[in-house]
Amino acid sequence: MRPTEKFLAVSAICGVLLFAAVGGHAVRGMVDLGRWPLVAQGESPVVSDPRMPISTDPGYAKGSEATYFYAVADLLQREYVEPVSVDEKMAVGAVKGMVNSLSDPMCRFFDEETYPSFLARERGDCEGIGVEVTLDYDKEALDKLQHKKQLDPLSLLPRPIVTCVYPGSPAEAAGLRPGDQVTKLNGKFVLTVDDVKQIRKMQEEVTAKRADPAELGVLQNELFKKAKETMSAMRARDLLYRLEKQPVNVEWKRGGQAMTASIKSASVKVKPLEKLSAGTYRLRFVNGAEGALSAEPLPDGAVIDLRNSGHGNFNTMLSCLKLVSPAGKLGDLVSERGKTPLSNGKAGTVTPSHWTLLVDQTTLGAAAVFARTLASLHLATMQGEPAESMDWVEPVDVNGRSGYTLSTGQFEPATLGGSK
Amino acid sequence: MKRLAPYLLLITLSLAAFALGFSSREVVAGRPLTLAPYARLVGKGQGLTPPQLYESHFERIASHYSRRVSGPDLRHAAMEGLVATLGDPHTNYFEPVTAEQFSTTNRGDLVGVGARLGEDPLGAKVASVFEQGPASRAGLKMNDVITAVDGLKVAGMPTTEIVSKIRGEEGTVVRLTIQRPTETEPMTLRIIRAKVEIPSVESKMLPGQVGFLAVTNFAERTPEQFSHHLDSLIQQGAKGLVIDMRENPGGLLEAAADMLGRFASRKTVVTMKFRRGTDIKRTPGGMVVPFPRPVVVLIDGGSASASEIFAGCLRDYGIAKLVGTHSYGKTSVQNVHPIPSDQSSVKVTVAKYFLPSGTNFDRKVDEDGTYLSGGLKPDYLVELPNTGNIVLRDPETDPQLKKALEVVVAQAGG
Repeated sequence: MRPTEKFLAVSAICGVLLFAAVGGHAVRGMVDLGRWPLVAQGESPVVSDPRMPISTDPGYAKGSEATYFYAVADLLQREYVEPVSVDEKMAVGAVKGMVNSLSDPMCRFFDEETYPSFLARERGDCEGIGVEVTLDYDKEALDKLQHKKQLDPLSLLPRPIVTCVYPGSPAEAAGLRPGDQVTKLNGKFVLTVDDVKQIRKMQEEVTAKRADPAELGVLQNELFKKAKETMSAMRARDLLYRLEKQPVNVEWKRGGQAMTASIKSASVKVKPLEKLSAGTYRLRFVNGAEGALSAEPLPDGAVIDLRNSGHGNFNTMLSCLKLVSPAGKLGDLVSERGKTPLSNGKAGTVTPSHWTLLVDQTTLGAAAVFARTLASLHLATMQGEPAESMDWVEPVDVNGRSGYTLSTGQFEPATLGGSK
Repeated sequence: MKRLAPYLLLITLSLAAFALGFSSREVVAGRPLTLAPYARLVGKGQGLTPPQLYESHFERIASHYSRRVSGPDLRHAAMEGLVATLGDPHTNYFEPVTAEQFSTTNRGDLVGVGARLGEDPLGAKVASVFEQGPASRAGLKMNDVITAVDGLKVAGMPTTEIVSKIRGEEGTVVRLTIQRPTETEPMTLRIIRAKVEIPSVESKMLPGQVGFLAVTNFAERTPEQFSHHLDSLIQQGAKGLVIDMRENPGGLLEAAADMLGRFASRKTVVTMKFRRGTDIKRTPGGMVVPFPRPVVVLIDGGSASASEIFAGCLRDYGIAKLVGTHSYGKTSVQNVHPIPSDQSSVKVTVAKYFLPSGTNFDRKVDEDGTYLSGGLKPDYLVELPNTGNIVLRDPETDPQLKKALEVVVAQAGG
């Protein structure tokens, strides 16, 4: 071999090796991004659910999101002071960021700590004192937040409101009722927007010289005292949803009346369908509701109690709805993107005959949608008026250990004959 | 067989090179190699990769959520969430708009009226007015309350928002409606906005011949100003020193090292531990003017970064005692990396500081961002009560300064 040949051979080998290394790096990028042909494509939730088209908003191109995520995650992987890697935790954190950015009380993210309890409640296994609690935000403040307007962060302190008291639970025995507002837990105040509003109003009065500054001082001192021993509404809810060894001291108010009780926590199993008396049933949209409805056909003229029902899984409710409806349109999911029809593919196997649905303002969420839809399709008569909100809220799983709820629109039930 | 050997060798080498390239991210980061990507490479992977997982939920939320959300907004929120998983309050993602703001605040050539504002229920209270600034010339005074800017009422607005309304282009006029504590009627000042140089050091002589130095941040010219004020206090015969680092958010580490150089020569300021290797920052030599008298540094929850390092070093050198409340607890160095595709950026912690005594006082927060631990512990804990008439830096009514004076006088006497 002559020197030039030798040189060429060595260069060629080096070239091949370099190419292999660069190739390896590039292939790794494709693997991580899911572009490598052999990588499991997984189920894209959008593809599997053809109800709505992918967003056509500017700034979005299919496939560009994964690349963007990878750029940021890889930067941290390269530069951060402690070794970190592009892992699932980062993706879950990103999902959490997105859900929280919606600033929508109906869209909640559940982390590894809170997700098991959420899933259990969706199934009908409820731990804690036996209540469902919703966080009631000041509408005006929420609107400002969602439209990214200036706002006082203190106006976003929600009120914890009981939406459902499970039958047979310690909370029921203690006298809690849907609509009650929890004000104090284990000696800690739950500060709300109302406390803030009160003091702001007093401040204005004082400024306008209509009130005595001394009064403001008293109020301020009260607030300072409260603020020292305080608990956020979110934490209050978490506490009420936990199995505690000690009874929880709960203070709540109904109208202007204050009440207090020491309540033990327990595990309550929510039955999907429970016979209350001859011909009267209580229906809850938890695991097994669909099965129970088809296993035990309700008699002619059955009365179904849907009151005190501030909890329920929308997927379960939809299955129940399909079970008792004829084939055809059930209604539309109306969002800012337009209307998406929801239909029943084939007629359900259970035919409701002269059902009466007992509803009132404590018939919320899935139960309210169920009641209004059955009434609108003339499949049952409502006795009473369910809550106004027809928000459709879906549970979404992220990785089995965390998940979130997503509000997907307002449900408008189809009217009889409207589907034809 | 012998003829094939070189080819086999080449193939083996190529595979090794491929593997090296494939795992280069772990190799460069110094992390253990994992097999999961290789499993995916040959089609045996399980589930979605992190970028795929993120993208699938991005699509779901962008297309199914009941309200319209803009793609970029959602993406930026996601990146903030991603960065937050590190649990480091100083590693942040900045979307394009804030990235711009970040670079202007760092440049420091602000155009405004030259006053520091604090919170007030009616708007913003003037905490101090910079000497020679436009506001000072127009007659704005400390403790005036700004109730309106250009006729727009600002009550209830966050102070940062009010500040941004007052700032504007150089040479333009801003009208401030103010309520002066001594007057009953509000008054209006017309102020021409101008470039403002924020003085970072102020000084005065306190009763008992104790020199007082307030340092508000660590900018390029701070060491020079500090030396000037310190020399003047020493010339006036100061029997002790109180250095106020309260609400000082920090700034240039270099400036803190230079200022420490007035007290100790060629001593370790901090040891910076990077991902790979360490670096030691020392004080410069030959700048010490002996000051064998008691020194107290005031700190509080707003003292961060360079100001904590300054305070911590003076204590570690055995020169000063610390009075006040625990400091913020920022013990790390950040670099800003732009993301080229959309001009956003990520501020990443690349190193951690350790004081000469070896302490790291990193701030720890819970998931709500509430303080758990961290920061320098003062030698004398003095809290500011939230009621009562307190004028900061006033030896009569400022309890922290009062305590500092006590400590200095006691040590000077003994």
